[in-house]
Amino acid sequence: MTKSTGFFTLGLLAAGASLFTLFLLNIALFTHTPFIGMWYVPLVSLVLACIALTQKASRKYGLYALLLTSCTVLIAAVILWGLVSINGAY
Amino acid sequence: MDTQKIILHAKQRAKWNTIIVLLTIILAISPIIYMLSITYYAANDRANNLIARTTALYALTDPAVDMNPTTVQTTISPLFNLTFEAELEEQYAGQDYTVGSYEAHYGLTTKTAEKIAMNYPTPADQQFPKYFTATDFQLDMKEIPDDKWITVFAIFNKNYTEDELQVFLRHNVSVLWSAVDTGLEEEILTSTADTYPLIGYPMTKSVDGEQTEESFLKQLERLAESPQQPIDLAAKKRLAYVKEHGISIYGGTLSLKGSALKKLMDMHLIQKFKLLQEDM
Repeated sequence: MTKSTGFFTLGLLAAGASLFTLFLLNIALFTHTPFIGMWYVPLVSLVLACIALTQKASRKYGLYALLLTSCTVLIAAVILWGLVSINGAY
Repeated sequence: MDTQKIILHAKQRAKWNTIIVLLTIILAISPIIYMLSITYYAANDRANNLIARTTALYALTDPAVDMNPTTVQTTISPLFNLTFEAELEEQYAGQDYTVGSYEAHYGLTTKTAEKIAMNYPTPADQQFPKYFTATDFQLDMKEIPDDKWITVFAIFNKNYTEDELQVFLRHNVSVLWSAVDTGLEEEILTSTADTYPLIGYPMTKSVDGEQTEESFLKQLERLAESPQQPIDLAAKKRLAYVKEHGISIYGGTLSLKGSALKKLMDMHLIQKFKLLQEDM
């Protein structure tokens, strides 16, 4: 495996991890389970995304993963804020 | 790298790109709509105001049953629907009992359904809030045993202030809810048809963490300001009357033994009453 192919795969992994973060958010919303124990999934996604950003072969996926994870975390934070501020919702 | 390989590589990338974009769209739809739905209800305290208004409606219009705000469970669905449930409580002989549950469904702040389930048999025509008419009241004590705890809604011999209600406490009577004179009571209590619900406030429990008179005015203001009122309370008119004439209590929900009721009737402290509940 060349360096380029390796980073391409890493980029895909970063994108996959960010999609998995989004998937977990979906599961949490449908099952009303907080998934606090899975806090490391977005973190892993962010780390992989940052590594992927360093090489041209994976930069696009790295950027995509970084944006997707950030947006997912932001959506989760807004939902959490809303639930906490509504009486009896959290 | 030959052309064939470059094309294969580009195809592979295009395939992954399509998969990632499609998965992102599929997985993002639900959280985004849910977030918008939550934000809609959380912004400007929309959901909390809906809950507070219903709690206030119970506290101010139901002489016996009270909605416990600490038991409220709210669920928000991604399609801008809100459901809230709460326990209904009633007091007997100084003890609170859960007597039923309340459930309401809202779609964009409009109530779409309401369900009140009581744990004991209730008349099929019973509605919320309760309406009193001239035919509801009785004047004699027959069929009420002396030693039995009962809950009655009584009309007093005159109007009292909150402090003056001590006269009832001296006879081993708990005043659970005070009915306030809002200027419409003569019309309500002499009519044989449903007109307006009576208005008052709970004496033994606080609403919004505040006690009695102050809380009552705040709750009535909340109902008067409400743009969408499911029932006609004439809240604005009644609030103006109370603000002008002050809080004057002409009746109330009393928890007492049959013998105490008899004594209050003999002393003419009570004009007439309606039996709300016998002990469980």
